[in-house]
Amino acid sequence: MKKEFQFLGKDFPRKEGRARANGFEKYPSDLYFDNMLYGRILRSPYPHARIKSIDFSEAEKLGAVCVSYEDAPGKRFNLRLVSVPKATYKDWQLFSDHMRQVGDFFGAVAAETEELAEQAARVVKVEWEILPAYMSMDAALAAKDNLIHDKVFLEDQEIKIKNNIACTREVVEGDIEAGFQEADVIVETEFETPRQYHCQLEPRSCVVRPEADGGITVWPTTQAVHNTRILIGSVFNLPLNKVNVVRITGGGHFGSGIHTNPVTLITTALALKSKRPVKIVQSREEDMYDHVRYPSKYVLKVGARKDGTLVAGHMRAYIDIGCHHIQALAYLGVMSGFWHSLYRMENMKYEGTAVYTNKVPTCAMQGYGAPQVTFGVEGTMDMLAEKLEIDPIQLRIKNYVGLGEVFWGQGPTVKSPIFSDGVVELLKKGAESIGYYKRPGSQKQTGRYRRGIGFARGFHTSGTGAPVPGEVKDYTTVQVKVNEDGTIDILTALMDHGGGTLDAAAKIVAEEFQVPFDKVGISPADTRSTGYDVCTHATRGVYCGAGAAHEVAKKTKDVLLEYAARYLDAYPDSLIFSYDEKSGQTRISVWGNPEKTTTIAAVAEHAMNKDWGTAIYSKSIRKVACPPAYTNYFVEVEVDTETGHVKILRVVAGSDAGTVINPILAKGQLHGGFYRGAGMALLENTSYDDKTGCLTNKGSMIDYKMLGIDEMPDPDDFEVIFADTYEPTGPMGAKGIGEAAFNPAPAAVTSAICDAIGIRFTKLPILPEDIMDALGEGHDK
Amino acid sequence: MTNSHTTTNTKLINHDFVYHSPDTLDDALKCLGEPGAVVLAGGTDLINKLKLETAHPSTVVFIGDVGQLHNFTHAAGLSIGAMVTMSAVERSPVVRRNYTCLYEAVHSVGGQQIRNTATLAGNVGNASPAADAPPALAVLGAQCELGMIGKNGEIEFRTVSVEQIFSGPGKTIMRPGEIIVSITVPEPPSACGSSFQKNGRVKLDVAKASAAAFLHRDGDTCAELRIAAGSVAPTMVRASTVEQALRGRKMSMQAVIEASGKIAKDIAPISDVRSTDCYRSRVMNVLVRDAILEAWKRAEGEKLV
Repeated sequence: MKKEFQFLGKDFPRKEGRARANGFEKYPSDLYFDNMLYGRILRSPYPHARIKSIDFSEAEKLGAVCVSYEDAPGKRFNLRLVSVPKATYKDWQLFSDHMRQVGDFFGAVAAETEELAEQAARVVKVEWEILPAYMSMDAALAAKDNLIHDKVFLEDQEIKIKNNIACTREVVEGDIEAGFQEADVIVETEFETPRQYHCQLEPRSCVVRPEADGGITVWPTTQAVHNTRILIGSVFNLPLNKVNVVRITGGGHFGSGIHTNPVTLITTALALKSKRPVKIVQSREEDMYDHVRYPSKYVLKVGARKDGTLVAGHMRAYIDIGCHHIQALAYLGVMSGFWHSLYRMENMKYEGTAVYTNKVPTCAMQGYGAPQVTFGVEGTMDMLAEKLEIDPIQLRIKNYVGLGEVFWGQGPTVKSPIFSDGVVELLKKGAESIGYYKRPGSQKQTGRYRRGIGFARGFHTSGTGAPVPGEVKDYTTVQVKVNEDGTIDILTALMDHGGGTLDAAAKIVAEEFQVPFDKVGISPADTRSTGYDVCTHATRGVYCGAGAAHEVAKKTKDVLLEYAARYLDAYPDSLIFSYDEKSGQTRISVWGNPEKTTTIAAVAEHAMNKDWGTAIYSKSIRKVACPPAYTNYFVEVEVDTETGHVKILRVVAGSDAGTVINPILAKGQLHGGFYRGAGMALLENTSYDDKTGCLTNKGSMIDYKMLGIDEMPDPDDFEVIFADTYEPTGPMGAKGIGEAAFNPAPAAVTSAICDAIGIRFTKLPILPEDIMDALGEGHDK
Repeated sequence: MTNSHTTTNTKLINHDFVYHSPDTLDDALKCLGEPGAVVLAGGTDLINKLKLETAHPSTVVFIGDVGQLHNFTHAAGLSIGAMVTMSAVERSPVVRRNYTCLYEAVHSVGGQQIRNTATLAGNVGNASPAADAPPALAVLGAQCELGMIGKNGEIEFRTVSVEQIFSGPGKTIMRPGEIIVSITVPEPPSACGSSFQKNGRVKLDVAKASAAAFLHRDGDTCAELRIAAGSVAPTMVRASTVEQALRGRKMSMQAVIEASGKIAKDIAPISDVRSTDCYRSRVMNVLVRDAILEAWKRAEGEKLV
């Protein structure tokens, strides 16, 4: 049950909203320094090739500074440092002579202007040896030689690659063969999800400035300043106190900044060689060749008893990861974990295989493996419900993993118990609000336009904390300081992607101290002034990040209480904080002694003048749980059976985020998550020309279509219901929301289409062309 | 050894050219007479081509400073100068009322920012088979006034119908140095209606397929019908088979459906990054039918059953 708060649960404007609206906010692409050079990355025109030689002489005549694999340290690494070393495959090098995709990078040039850098890049001559390209998993798996990678490293151990298999993962619980024996009904289906491009507004970019002390300052587009610092230090053999990575607002990430982007390392190489500041802002087409969501292709087999009890499940997944590991092992792990945590099954087996192809390297995108897995699992639940003639909502309620059970937050090594669960409440309210039980269904409709109501449920983890260490690092370091006028500053490397993570931290600290929100500030942060923060990913921002701020705020408050107790001649445990709206001051009073009262400001100032010190505290905090943030979507669509167009008419979103910190932003997360999820269902994909290895859209937004405002329902037809839950392990009862807002959306849209026209699609995106083909054939597709 | 350059760089125009911005039509056409010169009006197509390196002009001539090209009149038909923007056309109440299919076509182009700078003449001159305005202009019987500097050094004008101006994807019958100076559209008589129907991946998109219909009603008969289809052939095409099937006939739902079904004979769709030939054929039936029905309704015809 929710608690009453002074500040939480009320709408607040964003702290940086004004700066963003009027253009004052600086992004990496806005930065300019005197003497700065502009870089341009050299990229392969071939999907698979080896470079025999490079000739930079013409570029150098234009005054360009050039770097390539010839002057790069050969060290192997992984760009993503979220996992522990023993679970991190290393197949990247700063530059390589082995080109593994169109757009792969082998060097870079820097010059006085962006135009000159472009000219210099164009006169670099390369001698190529073309290798056979593997543009599909089948082709890659059949290959015996000319592999995309011959070897990769796990810590210092060399691993030989066979048939382009990057890694595999098997997770087994119980005995599936025995389980399927018990099943009365079995559903087995192949599902496929697309290579969705992040399409963050700001392309991955970086500015690096060499400093007089031999160090560098780095302004990257990243979700992980500390991991970026550590990787740069390791790749370039720089001491970590000489690498200062600055937290700067990024123009969106959606997961594309969890790993350190190649552009960051390339800019660093140019800055170190030229000894001048260097800036690279990638073009949109470079960015589209830089990162993409993990696709998925899997066969899911699930067995159930007549009464709807699930007894066994088997998932066999093949993942086309493109030409590099950005931690596919972790991706395979979370696929198993998210599947495991959707529905209870005593007997489960997950087999995942990650396959290299000569395509864009895949990485996390909002939801990680959850939208992919939820799509198939929720589709399967609908099919089982139909076969068993059980209400689809009741089938979910009977089998979902909820209160008191164990949740796998990030694969099989990150598990914790579930302490809060709003699933039943949200399913019931959502069904009621949209009129789920009043829907006509596909059988009863005729005519051009058919309406359907569908739903899907899911969740995301709130961070990757757990009671015991797993494969994933998870902690955040925070310093909270009370200033001498009673205002408060929070210093942390925690990142905010635009969802309001840092505002949430400020609001929670404000609540703890009972000071107004505008009296809590977020200090500028860089890696030299802050302790480690793993990264803002896995929907850990509020639960782990702001949660760490809350824990540290309590410690800082203890220091302040000591000073206040001395000042008021009372005991710390007897002091109470209360906000006095009239004076705008937060009072500290001794209970039962109304005359003994002061303010935070007076105590802080007194403590300074008496040389007691500053009320300040700094600590690294790890969460020891990873609660699921549950979400469900009920969606009503209208399908035009003559054109195959799908119109989303209404959405009822249900979100179990525990205590809602800032409702207006939380609702925004649901609108945004649904929007991209619907895009994944209906439109977004990147495909390849197998002959040239190029993206068919050539990296251009002209042919990477996303849903627009015209394709979304009227905001008045988008209802958000928050569950009445309180997460006991969370900061003031809060858990995550960001990725949870995405995960069931593609499945829900697919379910609604099925309800409208009676066709269940198992491959995304569902284009009008697919709908017309399926309607023409008159059977499932 | 080959150049390493692979991807385009749409942050820059990687191409040098001479830039002119004359303020008289005479000077503009003289500049355009230089070999390798191209015209810049709204720029929403040319700038893309320069960035994507599909156009390599040696001279770019901006015609926005030529005052007369901004003229837009609507007494006894429309006269639309080469610099008149899509949004100016879209905002005209006369266009919306009497030239409805043109309003609908223009309104469907891109977003507001694009329409604020893109010109109607540019949408024709660019000669994309998928362009939205040409089918609408064609069924309304629009003419392009073309101008160029002749051998005697004087401006030579000639008139070509929108329907006749295209010769292939991105190609027109215009000669080097010739530009569209204005587009004129005759005023439709009474008892007429028109409609533009479009199918795209999303609303803000180039058409997968489009259809415009103009219909003149005589009682319960279709006295005159003109239909044009976009994005289903190398150029915009007139659907003469469909037109013939309905022209002079008493209107009924059955007749419209039958006539629309003949559209396949008039089009030659292909599969590309936006859609498939099969889908385009299918959806074209629907677009043509809907365009005819809507035009009939606007011509104040009785509701068809």
